[in-house]
Amino acid sequence: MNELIVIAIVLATLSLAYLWVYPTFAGRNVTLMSYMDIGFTFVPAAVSALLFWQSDPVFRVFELEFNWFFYSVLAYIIIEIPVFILYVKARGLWPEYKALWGSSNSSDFGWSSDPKQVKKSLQDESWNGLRTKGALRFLVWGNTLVILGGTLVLSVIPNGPATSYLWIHILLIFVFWFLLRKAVRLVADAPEESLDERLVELRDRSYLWAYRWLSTVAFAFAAAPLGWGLWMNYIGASPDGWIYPVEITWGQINALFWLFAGFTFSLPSMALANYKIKHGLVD
Amino acid sequence: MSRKPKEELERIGSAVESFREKADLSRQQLADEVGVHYQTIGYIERGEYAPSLILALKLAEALDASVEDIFWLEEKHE
Repeated sequence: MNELIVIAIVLATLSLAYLWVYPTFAGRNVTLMSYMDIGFTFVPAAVSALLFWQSDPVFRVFELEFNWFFYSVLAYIIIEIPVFILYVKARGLWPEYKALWGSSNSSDFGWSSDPKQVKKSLQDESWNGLRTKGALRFLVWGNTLVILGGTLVLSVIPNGPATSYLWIHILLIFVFWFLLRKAVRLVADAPEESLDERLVELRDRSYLWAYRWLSTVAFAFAAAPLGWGLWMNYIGASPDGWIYPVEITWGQINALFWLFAGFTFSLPSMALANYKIKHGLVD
Repeated sequence: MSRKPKEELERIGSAVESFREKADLSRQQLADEVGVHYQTIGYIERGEYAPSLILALKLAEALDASVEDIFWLEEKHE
């Protein structure tokens, strides 16, 4: 029964998206439609959270068992595929989609921003408020605080509140990442062909610093269990000498994942913003 | 004693700026001509960026000057 409720929510969300939102607001802009689609994918999960958070029932599909979150997201993705194909075919949007995928067809696909977006961003003056020294400093420190603070919060609170806070944490990470990228005009993630020689130099320098910072964070987190293990042995808390019973919560797993994911996404732009602050290279 | 690199860059930057003004070009127009972002012209003119050999050649051509008119070292001249 619960399975059918989720499927009804999925169908209602798909109707809203494909019959009203995409045709009205996205039109032929498939990039915007893709971003909206990411948002809509999580709508059934959000509604399911309201219905099934407390009872946490098991959702069965043949022999497989899921919780409300994974069932909602998977159901949406599976039901959406034919709807998406029909929609794109009916509206003749394949050329736009081919152009969207084709423009990212360079060797560094997945690592860099769309060249068209970068070129637009290099001329764009509407986000200049983010490009002052003070704003850049706020973004660099704010992002660091959001990632490290969120990691700490998720590590210490119990699973229930951690699952709620996780959404805020993820949202904040993406908001700061978005603002940082805007502040540095996407230069840190830009492909070679959309930059001139000075900007290529800046981008490469920011990657050097990003690597150094990320390796420092990685080293600290790799060294921490080693130090902890040695300490446990020293105080005799490990009965077998070299085996350590460790309990880890869902919040702590997410804390670790989003710590590295957050810094991996944002460090190149952060490093570039920091370089600009230090050398007074504000726009 | 030789001049500091920063001072050399600032002098070269001023030369680029004066040749640009003589040619009656805006930074954006010059940037479009040589294929760089307009801010890069600003950085060169302020002595905050040393252009590559290729860009220096393109700038000289766009400003209707010889490379030696714009890019030279003080030490050599002295």
